[in-house]
Amino acid sequence: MFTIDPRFRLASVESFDVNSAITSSILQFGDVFSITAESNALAVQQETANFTEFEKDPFEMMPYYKKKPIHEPLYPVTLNRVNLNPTIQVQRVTFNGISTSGVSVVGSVHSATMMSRVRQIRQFDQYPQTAPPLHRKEN
Amino acid sequence: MNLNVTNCNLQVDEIKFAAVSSSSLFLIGDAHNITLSSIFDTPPESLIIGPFVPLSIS
Repeated sequence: MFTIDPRFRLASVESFDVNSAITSSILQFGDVFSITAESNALAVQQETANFTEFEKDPFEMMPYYKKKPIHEPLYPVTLNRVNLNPTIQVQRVTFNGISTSGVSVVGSVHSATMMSRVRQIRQFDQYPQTAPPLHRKEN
Repeated sequence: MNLNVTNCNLQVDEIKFAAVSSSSLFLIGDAHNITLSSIFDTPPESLIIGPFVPLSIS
């Protein structure tokens, strides 16, 4: 079994109002030992609709979705905490929704690792006349 | 490095926002370790003209 640091404070929320939790999102009340969330999105905007299927999994083919940022502390940090008031009190929380591997927690978390990759591609049939020069590729 | 933290009172009346999205974390409480990464690629770099989506370009 895991143990949450006993020095973590108690979170107390009187009223929690959320409309929706969609697309692999989590709404959690209570302590969590570990959260690992990842979301990969590819948004393709096409001038002309093209419903042909991809030959291979686009997430497998593009190196973009294989990138893993590495986080390493510059030096080890020892944190000493003193809780004069052992509770975090929030009267009211109001928000619309949680989406795309988002996580909302009321409680303590030992470790959370979140990763999001979003890529947008705009596809035109011809050079758009209205686009600024920056958007044009000479080839 | 030693970091000494004294948590006095933390009392909030109201938290209001639109949404938690794209692997974001909204936390009311304490945490030991949080690692967040985000890669976002948007036009003009992603603007492509032609009949195919170049899925092999990084």
